[in-house]
Amino acid sequence: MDFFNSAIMGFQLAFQPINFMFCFIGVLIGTLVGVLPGLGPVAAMSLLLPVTFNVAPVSAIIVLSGIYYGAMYGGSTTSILVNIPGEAASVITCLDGYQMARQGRAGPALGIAAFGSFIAGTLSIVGLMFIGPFLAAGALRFGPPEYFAIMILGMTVLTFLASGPMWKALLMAAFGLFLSTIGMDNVSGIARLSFNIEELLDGIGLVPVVMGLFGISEVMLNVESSMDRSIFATKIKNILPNLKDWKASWGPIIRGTFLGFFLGILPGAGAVISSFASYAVEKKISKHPEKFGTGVIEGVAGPESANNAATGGAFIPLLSLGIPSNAVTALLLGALIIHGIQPGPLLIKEHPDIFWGTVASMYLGNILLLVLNLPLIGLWVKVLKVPYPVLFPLILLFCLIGAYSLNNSITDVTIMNIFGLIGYFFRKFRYEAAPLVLALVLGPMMENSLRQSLLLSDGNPLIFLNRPISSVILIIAFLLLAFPLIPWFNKKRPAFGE
Amino acid sequence: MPFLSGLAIGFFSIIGFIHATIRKNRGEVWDSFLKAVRWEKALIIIISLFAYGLLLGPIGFFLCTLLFIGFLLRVIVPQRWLLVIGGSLLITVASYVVFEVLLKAQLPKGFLGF
Repeated sequence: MDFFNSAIMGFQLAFQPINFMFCFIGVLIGTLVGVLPGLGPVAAMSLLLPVTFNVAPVSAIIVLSGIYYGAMYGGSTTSILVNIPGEAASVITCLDGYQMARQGRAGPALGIAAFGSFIAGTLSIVGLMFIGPFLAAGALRFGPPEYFAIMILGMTVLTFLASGPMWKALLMAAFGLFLSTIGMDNVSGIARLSFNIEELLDGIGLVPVVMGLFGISEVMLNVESSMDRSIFATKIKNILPNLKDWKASWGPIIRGTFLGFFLGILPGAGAVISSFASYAVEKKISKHPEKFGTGVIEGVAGPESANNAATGGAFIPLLSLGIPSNAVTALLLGALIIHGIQPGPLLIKEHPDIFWGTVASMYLGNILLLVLNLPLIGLWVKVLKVPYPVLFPLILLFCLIGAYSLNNSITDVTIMNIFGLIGYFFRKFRYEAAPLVLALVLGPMMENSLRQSLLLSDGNPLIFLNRPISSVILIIAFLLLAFPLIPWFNKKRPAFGE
Repeated sequence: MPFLSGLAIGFFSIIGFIHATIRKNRGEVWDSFLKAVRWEKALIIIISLFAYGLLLGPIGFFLCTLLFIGFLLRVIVPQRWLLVIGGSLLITVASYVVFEVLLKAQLPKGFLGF
């Protein structure tokens, strides 16, 4: 099936009423969780995951990915109007977005965030369409050692980019790997670290862990601080940016798109880093860098485009290699496996409907988001006015129901609660949960690749260095690990994630 | 793999310990993370979550959720009784209809039968 036929098939799938509805529901929920501080796309997706068990795999992936890129759109609204980022990728938008709102320019800020997101989102899907199948074809030549090396690189990049000292991120990744080994060993059939608890034989589920670490702990932290938030009292008018705004913004949008897209492809990078990087680039090349932070539109257009472009980029390693690059794509990987689809280079060939249907639905979703975001901004502001003391029990209840309905098991609820408590302390002591989640997902795959590689080489670990692709990838991973030992790098490091 | 990952945890913990000791020797002073933080609310939330997990089976979804939401609305940032009762009833009924009736989530019934 050639490229255009595949693309047309994808659009036919995306326009089927049921898939169109799922796409709409996905982007709507995504925008909503993006708007609401304290409930991010990861928690929302894990909540909805059990609900998607009964629908076709392509519809499930469409709704879940809709939440992901929808949240990137919605996140900007709170950053601009309340100075509280709806989710992590919109943190940097607060700097100039909120200042613009204070100057009575909330409309153009919201408008350019929506248009920038639309342009970047659409362009990144074009990139996904072209690069995804190409990379998958190349990856067919990969054997277990190459896969093992890529997964090592993915985890290394994520720990490299995590904020704070690198040993903390590595510790979290090691903890995630450790958790992934709980349960029955696939090869020997021996129960590992399950302490004769029957429920642990299947291992620790990703969804309760993610909900605990990202959902419950976030609520616990939020209730500690003052729960008052004031929406900037301004009448939002002139949402359409004027010609001067467009002139200032088109450069940042295009640069943010490319930066976000390529950073998104890198395992471990993703939307948060892209938005920070885009802001840094715009500030560096600007003729008036001193004005950044006082309400310049470039400071909104660049990062908001970058975080949306990164979502398209993040789908590339997931759909073409079967390797998730962040917590969100890890959940999508989990969803694919639950639906009996083996992610990997053969996915595009064996399940073209999943790849092309999802890609086409993303075009559709981006248009829906533009339609949703511009006229519905007033509605989102009303949602923001729901006081947090009333909202947080609802978030907790959603997490509880989500964890329970996964397997109709109270054990999952208990695991979620335990990880909620652990996540709370992680946040207190500034340990990032993302490397843990990625390691938890990659752990079983890594272990399989490691074992298969060693079987191929009769137990000789040099197999990873004897094969050119895996050796190059491992050398890159090693260099990334060695970077923090260089003093000048360490001095620069804290500014990145802070 | 469990052994290797356990070894890695131990190794990075030692690095963390050395890192912290060096910083302390440089004269950095830490505040207790419990200081100036209203952690009592977080404690109440986590206890109520565990209680929800324990009670969900015996008393069923409806009653358990009603008590859970009502308790949180009243205790964390005390709301008026009208909002507590009305809000918890509304949220419980709505979530029951959405998850049990529409999405067929098979929530635990408990001794009340719903």
